[in-house]
Amino acid sequence: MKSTPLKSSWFGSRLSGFRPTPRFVHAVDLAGQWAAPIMICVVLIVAVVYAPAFYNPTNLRTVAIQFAVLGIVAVGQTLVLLVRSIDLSVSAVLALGAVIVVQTEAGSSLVVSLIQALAVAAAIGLINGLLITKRGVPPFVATFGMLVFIQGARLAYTKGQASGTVPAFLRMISIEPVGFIPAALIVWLFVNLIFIFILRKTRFGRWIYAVGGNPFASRYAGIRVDWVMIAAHTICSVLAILGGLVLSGYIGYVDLRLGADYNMNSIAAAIVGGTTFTGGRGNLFGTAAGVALLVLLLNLVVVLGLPIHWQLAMQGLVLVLAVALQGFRQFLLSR
Amino acid sequence: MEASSDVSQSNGTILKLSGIDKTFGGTHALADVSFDLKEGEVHALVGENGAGKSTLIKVVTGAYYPDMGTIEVGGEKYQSLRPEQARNLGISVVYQEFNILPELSVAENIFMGAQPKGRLNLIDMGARRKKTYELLERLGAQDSINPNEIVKNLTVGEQQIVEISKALATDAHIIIMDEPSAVLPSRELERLFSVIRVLRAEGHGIIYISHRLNEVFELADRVTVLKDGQHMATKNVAETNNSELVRLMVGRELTDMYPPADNKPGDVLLEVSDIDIDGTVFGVNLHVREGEVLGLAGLGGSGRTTVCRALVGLADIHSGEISYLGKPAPKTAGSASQAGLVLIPEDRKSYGLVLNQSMRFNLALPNLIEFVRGGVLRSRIEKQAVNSMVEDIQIKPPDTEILAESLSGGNQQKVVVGKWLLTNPKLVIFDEPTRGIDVGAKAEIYQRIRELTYKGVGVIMASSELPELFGVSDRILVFYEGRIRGELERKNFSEEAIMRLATATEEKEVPVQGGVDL
Amino acid sequence: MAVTFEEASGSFTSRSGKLMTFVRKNGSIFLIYGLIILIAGTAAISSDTFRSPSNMANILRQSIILGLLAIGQSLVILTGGMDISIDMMARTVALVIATLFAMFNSDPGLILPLILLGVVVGVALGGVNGLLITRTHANPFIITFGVAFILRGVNLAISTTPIRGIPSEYLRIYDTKIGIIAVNVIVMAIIWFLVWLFTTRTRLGRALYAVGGSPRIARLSAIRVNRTLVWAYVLSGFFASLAGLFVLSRMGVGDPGTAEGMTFQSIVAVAVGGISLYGGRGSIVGTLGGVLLLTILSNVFNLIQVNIYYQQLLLGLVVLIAVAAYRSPRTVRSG
Repeated sequence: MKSTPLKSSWFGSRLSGFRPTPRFVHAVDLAGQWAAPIMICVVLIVAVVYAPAFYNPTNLRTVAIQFAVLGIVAVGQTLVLLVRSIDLSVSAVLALGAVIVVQTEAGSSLVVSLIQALAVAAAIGLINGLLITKRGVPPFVATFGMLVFIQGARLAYTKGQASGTVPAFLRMISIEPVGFIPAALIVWLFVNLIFIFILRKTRFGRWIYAVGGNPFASRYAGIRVDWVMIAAHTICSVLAILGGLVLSGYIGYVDLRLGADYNMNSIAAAIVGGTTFTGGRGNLFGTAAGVALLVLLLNLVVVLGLPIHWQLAMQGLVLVLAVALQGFRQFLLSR
Repeated sequence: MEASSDVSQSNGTILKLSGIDKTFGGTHALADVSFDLKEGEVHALVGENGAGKSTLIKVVTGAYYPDMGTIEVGGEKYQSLRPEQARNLGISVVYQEFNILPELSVAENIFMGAQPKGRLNLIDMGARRKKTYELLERLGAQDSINPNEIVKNLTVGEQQIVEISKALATDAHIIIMDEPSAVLPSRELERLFSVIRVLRAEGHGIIYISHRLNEVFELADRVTVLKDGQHMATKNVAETNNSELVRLMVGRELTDMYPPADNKPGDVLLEVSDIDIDGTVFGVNLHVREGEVLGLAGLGGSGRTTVCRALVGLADIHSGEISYLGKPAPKTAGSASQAGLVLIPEDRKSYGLVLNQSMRFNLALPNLIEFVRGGVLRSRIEKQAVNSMVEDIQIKPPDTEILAESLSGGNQQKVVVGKWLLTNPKLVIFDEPTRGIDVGAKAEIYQRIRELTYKGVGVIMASSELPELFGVSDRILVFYEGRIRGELERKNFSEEAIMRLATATEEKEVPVQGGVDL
Repeated sequence: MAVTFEEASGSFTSRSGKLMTFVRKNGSIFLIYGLIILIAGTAAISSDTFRSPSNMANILRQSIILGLLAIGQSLVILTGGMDISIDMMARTVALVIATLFAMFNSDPGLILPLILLGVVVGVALGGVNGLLITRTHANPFIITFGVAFILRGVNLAISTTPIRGIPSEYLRIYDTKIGIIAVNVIVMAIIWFLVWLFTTRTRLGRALYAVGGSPRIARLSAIRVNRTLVWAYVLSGFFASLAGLFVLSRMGVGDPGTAEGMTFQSIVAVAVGGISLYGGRGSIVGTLGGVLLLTILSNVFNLIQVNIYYQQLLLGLVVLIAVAAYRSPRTVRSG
């Protein structure tokens, strides 16, 4: 028999007497679900009017590649969020990709260095997963620590000097047009198709939703919760490094400042697209919409000639609003 | 039995509930219940699970508002109380789940929210320590509990004393204790009792809820029995005995909700020898045969759930052996379910269902391997299996896309049962299979269980509801404090027999003054 | 049976028993100070530069900025949250005040009012964090993460180059000494003491622990959970503003790189000092130890001229080890 506490106290509301009406709750819920597509349309329209340069083919190509890179990273982040975790080390892993490939290509074949990069990423994801599941470290802390460590390791390894142009292969998977779209988009599409398939049509995909939705019930149902989480983190790191490889293919050389924003944005994109922090909810279509929104907003800022600090502020703002809205929505729905 | 009960008869009444009525949805939790508490009295409140004890307490503490009736306390009459009011009137509860902050000290926990202040408005640590000491001294615990000790380092009994001290610190006069002995190991019980006697001697009124009737006779002055939301009797403890209480608590008619007992048990499926679990369950021996229903009875905390969880590898077994199908039993939940050994847990929402997913998702979850062809989940096969199960267990409406959280309690339980039935298990363990479910759905679940036994599946059913244990089981094991007290065959099923074993009551009766005993 | 309180408190344990309880209870503090003695001792023996009084005095002064930030971070972490925006808040205050100085012709008469204004800005920013978190019930990690990004953008908008125009009298805040001890070190010592008093002897200070331990139980003890949380973040903003103002006096200009990366260092100092990242447990004394340890380490690294990049790597490594050795106080059940 469920107990119903009769005083309905709205903790945290300064407006005493504020009672959420069903319509209010419904409105907030809808806002959460449709925010991304609506905003995308708004942005596109604003661009037509105020910044027609947006539709310039070179700009569109840039947008497409940024969309692809963020999209790839966001897929990994979505997986991790789905299992009620988070990965703050993606930006560092992303930057690591180019560094590893460039530094090692000098001595060995491209294939070997690519494999090395993927292996390092997998190891990082594995460690993240192990720290979280076997040592009980909160995901935020574990991956944040990993972030600092990787950044430090990268600096130590490169001694602060970025060097080398990237191998042609990377340019090929990034900028080279296939028809009229850059190869990066194909890579993105590929990644998304694979993981949409995995999430919907394989047992592993179901396990991810189950673990995120209710880890206890999943354990009772015989699912190996820890392994699912470790797998999610490993995949996330591998996708992050893949994104990094595509990105360096676009830039053409190794840039130390690479990837700083991808943490923030991959999380924001997933949240805006409907994935929750509490796990078990979300899908890659929503994430793709979130990615599109972010990339468009940021590009708009550039095209409109606004200075860089607008970009940063914008990213932060989107994240804060997305999180606040989601937190609020969940709070309302739980009463 | 204490002799102070004579004195307490003449003391004043500090709490009086009259005609309390409370209904939740379809359940009539309390029907015209009256209850009163005197100064310097320990008044026991007994009854089965679901009899209305906790509802009554929630009315007293202001967590619930009664539909009808009055509450008289502090010389005033109220239709209902708000929690702050109750607190200010000196009403306070000690629950089984303590509300203490484990990382902070005893003194801090007791005075959190009411810290004594000294110079410069800073907390006066010395005064706090002193007051804590005084409280502990009143309860006789000043030598064993250090006010500065961090609470998590205390034993459970000591933590309970801290919890009681918290109540005293707020000048509580009416102290309600909800099964305080349930969480204590036997060696700490005596201290609890002496604390309660001290409280009584100080003139407080204590409402003592317990399933252990021997405690009622040892501590209480009066006892009130509730059954099915109704007030059955209030008696002076000196004027009654165990058997009478048991009879008042449980006497009821069995309806024909239960399928006929015509199953035929076969070979032994599961054999448990002398296992100890988790430090709370000891020396358990049991066996289950194909097509047999083994009932596990016993009151809350007696170890039934722990045993159920341990059988599927979800609790640590320290010694002893379990053999399943002639081989050592699987040790993890995953391998257990693959071997056909499944558990349907007590708390279906926390442990049984992924609430934010659909019925279909939940039903399919343990069975995914069946729907995979060539590495891919085939939704046609999945839907077929799911839909046929839904029909089988009669979930209405049969829309498999409804989210689990939107289902009724009965349907939710059916989903949990259904998902395991789809795996074609060989041994199913039910822990409180019909908790919070309406009568109609209950009957359907009993039918399922019976059908399982026709198919040769073994069933273990842990339940607090005696009628269902009698209606469905072939044998019943009774647990008390982590051990099996006794076993009853179907022909010997009786409510008194079970309650006697479950409350560790001895066979011989307490002598009654001039009354008739059974 | 009635024993007096004084007699009784002696009866619990013998004197050595009480000592043992004390040691056990404050184990992590002994650990960190032990480590400090070990490292400082080794350094002092091996290097006379290190053990020179001026170096020691320097270390103390260098610890002030991290100390202020670590105090603010401690208060927030005690409540079970985290303030990722603390370094950006410090920077915002520094830049805003520097700009104002420059605008008003470095008028020394403005020093006091602008210091006050700086504090107000910090408190306001902290208040925004606190309100966002409590009103929307969103995750504090992510909210402050987003706010940090927004502030990063705002800071860039204020200036990307050093802001000159600080009155020279202001620099005295950093320079004034008594003998070789800087006055600000003495002031900082007083601040540490006051904060210790706050966390151990005031209702609000203890409420931080209660809320971090369990908001539900805190609420049952009539603690206003939301109010406590807001206070924690407001205080964090307050200390961030002090840090920003102090940096300003040290640099002599409004440095757009103020406090870069110091959020992470503040978290490390707090964690290493024994405050649980889950909240509800730990002591500010430990944080002081963490701050001193990190400052001494950095001093030692500089003396032996460890490559700055290796410093980063080592920091990250320390963090990972600390995090891996970390055991959650809640049960970590695997399988």
